[in-house]
Amino acid sequence: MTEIQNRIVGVIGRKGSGKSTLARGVLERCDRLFVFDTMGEHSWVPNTLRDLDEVDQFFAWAEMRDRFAGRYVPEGDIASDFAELAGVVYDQGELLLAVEEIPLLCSASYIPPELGRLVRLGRHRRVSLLWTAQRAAEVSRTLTAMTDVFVLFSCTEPRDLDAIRERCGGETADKVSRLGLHDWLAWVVIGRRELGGLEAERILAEMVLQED
Amino acid sequence: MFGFASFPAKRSEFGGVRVPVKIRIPDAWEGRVHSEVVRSMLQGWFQRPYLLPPDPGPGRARVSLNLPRRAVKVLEGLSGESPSVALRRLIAAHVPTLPAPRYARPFAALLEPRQVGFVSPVTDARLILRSPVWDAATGRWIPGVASRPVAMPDHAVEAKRAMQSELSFWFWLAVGAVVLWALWKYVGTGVSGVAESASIAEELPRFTEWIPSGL
Repeated sequence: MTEIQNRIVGVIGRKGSGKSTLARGVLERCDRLFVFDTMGEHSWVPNTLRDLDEVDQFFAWAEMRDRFAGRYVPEGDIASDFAELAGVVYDQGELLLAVEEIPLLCSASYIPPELGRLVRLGRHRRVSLLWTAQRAAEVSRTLTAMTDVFVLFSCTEPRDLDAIRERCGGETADKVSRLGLHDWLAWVVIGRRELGGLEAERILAEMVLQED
Repeated sequence: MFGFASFPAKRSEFGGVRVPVKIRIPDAWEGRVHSEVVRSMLQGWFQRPYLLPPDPGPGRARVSLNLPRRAVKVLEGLSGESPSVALRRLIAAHVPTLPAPRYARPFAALLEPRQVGFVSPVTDARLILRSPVWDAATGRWIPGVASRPVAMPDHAVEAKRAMQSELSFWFWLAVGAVVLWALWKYVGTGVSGVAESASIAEELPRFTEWIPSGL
């Protein structure tokens, strides 16, 4: 029996470490993509939407297409905009949602219901998620618990290393603490294994593209 | 035809002994001429004689009247006619006052077709028998005729027809309104839907197609 699965990928690293660049490298390979571009960094995405009416129109346009890519740049209240957008994305289904700086929407002990639904139930709608954060300690435990792959950039902050240690193990946390400025490693939850280099990039692409 | 029965006569209040008298009468009179009625006519005529109309002629109907023998004899002598002709002339003078027909056969009235509801007079095959009428101006009888029933106004039927006609009018008016509404609804929706689709179509091309990069 084939089980419908979504993929959740978390990218954690300090500012300027290369999170967005790596994320772009992955997202550009995705057929059906939507970016909640909090920082307005993903100008490479062809369709930039600045209000939720445009989002509705975009998804109406995307309804009958095999491939589409768009980004929403919030200009008002991020939380309320995301809440509404999350509902639209959930209804749309079968796409990859990328959320930059997810700690702007959640905290270690709190995840907004709309994001929580995407995280918990997204697989039923084939909604995958790629999120980024500067600090591991600020990401919702619920979200980290449901994440399939962590991409970890260099980190020296003790609380963030503790969070990585708690989730990925002490050995991985130690490796992260010794990474160069733009170096990274991937840690796959299933099998508890680390990946690096080309293999990591291939695995990431496969996971984002939902290739089993 | 006229004749005295052979069985014994009996005494009566008017005219003495009554005897059965059998005569032929016009069909229209059938069931309406009875002994008591004719005796009353005889009594009235003898009290105040008047000119009798001509004989309407014998019909196919027959009636047996129990009449005072003497009175019939006097009438016969005064009119100079046979008893049957004299009696028919006497009865003819009172045709308008003759009672409604009685039926000799039991339940005959129940067996006769009756007009009820919306029965069209045209489809009613019964004949209406009209009595001969004496026309005093010409001094001649207008003979009785048998004719088809004429459509007589029936207020209940007319009222029902009027109501039916009115209901039919409102029904078709309502049907027309529903049809117009449906046309407006669906055609209008279709037009607005097309316009909306066109509007959307105008907006949709502004989105850019996405071509993901290969691995």
